[in-house]
Amino acid sequence: MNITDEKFASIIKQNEDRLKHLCRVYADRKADEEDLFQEILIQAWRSLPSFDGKASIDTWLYRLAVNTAISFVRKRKTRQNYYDDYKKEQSSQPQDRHMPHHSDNEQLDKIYEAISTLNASEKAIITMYLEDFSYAEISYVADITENYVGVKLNRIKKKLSNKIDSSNGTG
Amino acid sequence: MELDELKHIWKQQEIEDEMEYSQSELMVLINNKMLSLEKEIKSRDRLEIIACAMIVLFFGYILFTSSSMWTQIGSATLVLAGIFIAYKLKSAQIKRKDESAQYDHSMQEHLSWELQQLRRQKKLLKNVAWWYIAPIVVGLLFFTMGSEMGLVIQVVYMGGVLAFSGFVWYLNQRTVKKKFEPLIKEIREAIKSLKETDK
Repeated sequence: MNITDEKFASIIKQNEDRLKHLCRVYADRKADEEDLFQEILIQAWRSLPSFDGKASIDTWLYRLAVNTAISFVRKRKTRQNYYDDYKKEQSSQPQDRHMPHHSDNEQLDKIYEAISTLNASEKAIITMYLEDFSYAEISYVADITENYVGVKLNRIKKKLSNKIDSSNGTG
Repeated sequence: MELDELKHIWKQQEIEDEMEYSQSELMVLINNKMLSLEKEIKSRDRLEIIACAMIVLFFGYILFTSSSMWTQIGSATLVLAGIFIAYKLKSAQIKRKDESAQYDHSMQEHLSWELQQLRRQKKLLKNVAWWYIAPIVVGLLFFTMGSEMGLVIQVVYMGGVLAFSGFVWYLNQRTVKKKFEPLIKEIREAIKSLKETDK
């Protein structure tokens, strides 16, 4: 598919918020969000010629973003700093963690925290639901039937409610 | 909390540090990032091969100039080890290139691909003793036996080599256990949870 630079920039602009939310869901640290976002841009640019029009460009881009995020997390977690990791664990000092993400919205932070406890596929499904993707679009991304998107969402909802309620002290 | 309520809160969020790239800035960013990624991969691959080539050249020279049988055996072992390790690294590079990720596949397919990558990396680290550590250690031990150091220094040196190799092996096994196994489990669960719902 022949997409111009201008068209590509406009697709990215149109999906920027969704993509940035996704980056926050998958990146453990605030500092990784921008890296992941840039990685998604690169993969989107590289993969554009293979866009076959079976789904809308927005859904296709989201599928690509989810897969890129999954790979990004794997690469970050397996980066081979064996000795650094060893030293950190041997040290009695607390690890030098990067700043976790926080917003001014406490409820929103709790939602992100609860989502962070889900597995990679559940994260994608709930995030797509929250971003107003249809069941058909979620089904395209996850490769499960539409009926089971509903089943899956119900299960995820229960998990999230329990997490959020217990962090609110109402569980 | 209901899903609709979650959705309502979700929609209220605002992105901090809104990215405001112009079209040309976006294209420059992508080009630069792609170039730096390719450069990084190429230089990492090149470094590994150069290190092996240096081992082969250095010990290859000693192999033909030394008069000690043990030093010659050690040098020959190290030359073979250098060639073998370079082969092993090169074939891993080729496999990586042949099976590069297709990011626009479905999530299930992509997760399966990730699982395959993790298993391959885990296997490489788990077997690091025989394809990386052992050939070098054996070569170094023979090489030391043929050297003109005193016996005490030879024993201390060999002990040091063995202890360091053991430590490197331990770090690799630790990485397998602490990083790879939990990740493999996590990805397997993610795949399983997609399949369970689709029954």
